[in-house]
Amino acid sequence: MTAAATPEKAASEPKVKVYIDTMAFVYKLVNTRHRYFSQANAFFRDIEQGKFVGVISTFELAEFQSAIKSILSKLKNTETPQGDVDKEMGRLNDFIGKMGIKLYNADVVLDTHPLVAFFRAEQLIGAAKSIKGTWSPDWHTIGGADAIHLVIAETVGVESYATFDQGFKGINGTSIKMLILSEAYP
Amino acid sequence: MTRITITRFRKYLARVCKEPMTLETQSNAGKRARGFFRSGVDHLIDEKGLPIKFEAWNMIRRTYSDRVKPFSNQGMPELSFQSVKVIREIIPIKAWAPAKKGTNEEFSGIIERDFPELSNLTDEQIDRVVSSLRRRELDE
Repeated sequence: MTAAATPEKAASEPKVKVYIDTMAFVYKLVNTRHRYFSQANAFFRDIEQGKFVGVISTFELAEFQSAIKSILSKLKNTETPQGDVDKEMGRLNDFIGKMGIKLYNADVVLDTHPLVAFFRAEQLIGAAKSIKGTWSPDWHTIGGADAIHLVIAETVGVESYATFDQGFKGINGTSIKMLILSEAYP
Repeated sequence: MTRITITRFRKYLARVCKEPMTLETQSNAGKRARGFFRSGVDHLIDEKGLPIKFEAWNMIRRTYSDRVKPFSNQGMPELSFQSVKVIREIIPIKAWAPAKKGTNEEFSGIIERDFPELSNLTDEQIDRVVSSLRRRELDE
């Protein structure tokens, strides 16, 4: 046990930092039968093996809480007790901790951009291309929350943004590479 | 008045630099604090890499003139150190650490284990929840 822990402590931080979209956690933790589960699983396996440094912010935690609340309400067709949600948030926290994922405080990150964080988000939306849906006839452009995630990702200095959202293919004007998980892990 | 302000500035520097102030650095800080009223603090911020931003700096530029004695704060009564914006350093709440082996497998579908009925949800139902978080375009 001790022998296994020693080389882990000595390991150095991988160079490639990847900001992880909330949906990757939903597909990994909620349902193993979902068509995206195997891709999410493979991505997190790479993080476990030290290929990437996973990075998230407290904004993800808020979104995950919202997703869990919706899913459990849908499942039970009634309002979800907060205790159930808190329990699952605890699972997420354990997962983040054991995977060694970096967690940033979104408030602190955005506070380093006084007066410009939302301006930068506006720039990113302005520069983004609209993408035609592959399964729906709609055109998709990144939304405000997506852009704020990107601003946070830029500020903490990640190289890639991991998501299942095809709409992120239209992102321009940032050095962050989009890692579309459904394509990167076929 | 000036002396008090310089002392405050020196203490402020000691705090933001997060290093013990030796007699020499105190003296330098004092000199630089005087320079703050004469010329500016840009060089000091650059040199020290301080995580601070002087919002009042433009105000100083506007209000300070050569007619004002360099060692007094005459002419800028509205300047106070309360207007100094301290920008917090971006330090993660949880730092990176090597993952514990087996974590990925341990947590696969862990919420489904708490609520086995989740396996009855279709892909579409889950996708719809994810889509409602933000607008999503998911391929099939």
